[in-house]
Parts: sequence; structure tokens; C-alpha cells
Amino acid sequence: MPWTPPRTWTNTERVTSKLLNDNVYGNIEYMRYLAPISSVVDTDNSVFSTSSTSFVDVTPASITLITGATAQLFIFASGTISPGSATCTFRFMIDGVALGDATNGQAYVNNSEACSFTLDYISDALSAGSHTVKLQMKVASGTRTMNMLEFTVFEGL
Amino acid sequence: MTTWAVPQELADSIVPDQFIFNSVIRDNMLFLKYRNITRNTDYDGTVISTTSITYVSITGSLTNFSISSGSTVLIFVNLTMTPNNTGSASPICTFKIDGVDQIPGGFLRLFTTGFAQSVGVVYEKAGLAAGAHTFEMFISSSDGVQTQTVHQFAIHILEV
Repeated sequence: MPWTPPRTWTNTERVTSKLLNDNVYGNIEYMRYLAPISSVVDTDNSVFSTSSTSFVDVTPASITLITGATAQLFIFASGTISPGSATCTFRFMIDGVALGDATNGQAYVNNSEACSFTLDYISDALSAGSHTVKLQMKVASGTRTMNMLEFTVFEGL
Repeated sequence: MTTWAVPQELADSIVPDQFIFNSVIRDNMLFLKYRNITRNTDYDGTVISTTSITYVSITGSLTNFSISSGSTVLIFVNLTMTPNNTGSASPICTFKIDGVDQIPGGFLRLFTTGFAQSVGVVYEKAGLAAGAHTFEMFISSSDGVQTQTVHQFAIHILEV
């Protein structure tokens, strides 16, 4: 049962089972169980490699959720990057709209040894329907490999 | 933003009226569904560089937020930093809520000289009174000589 914007009750109305089911039971159930959540976990040591100096999709990290009205998406990503001195920069995209700075994204690392990154974001309220969240990455030079990835998106409650 | 109303316990002698249905059911449901969230970000890559041995504010991190009664907040912080560990120096970060240092010894020290690092922290704060509050992050350099740099930050404060 989808989320139903709770009605404003008046003293003169008859409280029917349908009203209670739609506005109370269904919404409690939605908040407890039904709000969408999805994760991508990849630990095979070769999640994604790129030599692109402009942002490209980290192909495993794409999640589409169907949300209720005015949903806010909670987005969490973390992972490890293989050794290499070139800067790796990360950002999220929501429905094709990039977040963060056009050049510096939302986080970056440059370590000659293996290193980790972490990125959190809570979106603005979105319309009801299908929404796609992606993680993107670019490198300053050479090729860098993402060894491990954990990517989770859920409709916040 | 809706505020949380302590649910009224119903009894047989009470006839539920529109006030009860709207405040206890509608508004509390809206509060649970649409949590109060405050966001403050700076991603442009040049937030602050400092050699100060005492804490200085991470530029732009002062964040105003408001909560309802009985609330706890979860604070999500992301930082991109370049530490300088020459001579065993390190950056030390802490944060204050309403001007009170929450972790006086610092919540973060990094030891990888000259490389940009991405770190994340989640902190739970309970017991705040209803109303307006402030959150602010600070940084120092442990030896007062080496330059410690914060490139980016993201702060999300979620009322739960």
C-alpha cells in the first residue's frame, strides 16, 4: 500500500474503515515496512576501473526506487580505491542531476596507497514516482580501480 | 515542518474529535514521515587551511537547526582533508553544539602526509531542548606549524 498524505479530519465526518485503513493503517505499515530501500555491495576486488578525466557512472552503483510523494532519499556510499597517485573524485547523481562541485565533486582522494572514501547525502523532497541515484567517479590521470563498494539508497522516514 | 505532539492516551470516556485525529494521528504521522533535516555543504575544494595549534572554525560549517521536544539528532559529517604529518603533526577536528565542545580531545586525526583523504562520521546527540541550536566544526594543527587543510565538507542533521 503506498503512502497516502494523511487527511485532515473534521468533527462531523463518519470515520469509516476505509478512511482508517488508508490514512492510518496503511501509512503506519508503509513507514514500518514498505518504504523502498536498495543496496549494491561488491567486494570482488575489481568493482570498476576508469581512466576518464570527466565524471562517468560507476556502473554497479545505480539504484532506482519508486517513492511516495515528497520523499527524501538517504544515500550512502563507501569503498576502497587501489594504489595510485592520481586524484579520484566522486559525486552522486539524482535523476541525471549532478550533486556537488562541477570540478571537485563531493569527495576526493589521492593516495599512493590503497585508500577509502565515504559519501553521504540526504536529498531534497522528490515527487512521487521513479528516481534513479548513481555514483560517479573520475580520475586526474592514469587508471584507478575501485576494489570494493557499498552503496545504499532508501526513502527516508 | 511539523512538530511532534505527545500522543494522547485514549479512554472509553473520550470521544475522539478532530483535534485528536489531526494532532495525534495526522501531524505525528507527517512528523515521522518527513523528518526535519538540515543540510550544509561546501564542495568547492578550498574550505580552510590552518597551522593554528588551537581550534579554529572550519569556515562555513556553522549550521543552524531546530528540533521538536523530546528529539534526538543524528549528525552525518563528510570531510575531504589533506593532513600534514611532518614531525608527527596531525590535524585534529572537533565540533560544538550550542558552543559546547562535544568531543574535547577531537573526533578525528589523520596520518597520511600530503594525500587527500575522505572521511565520514555519524554522531548521535540526545537531550537537546526543543528550539533552535547550532552545530559547528573546528580544526587545529597539533604542532602549530604544519598546515592542515579541509577541502570539502557535508553536514546533515536529522531529527529522529
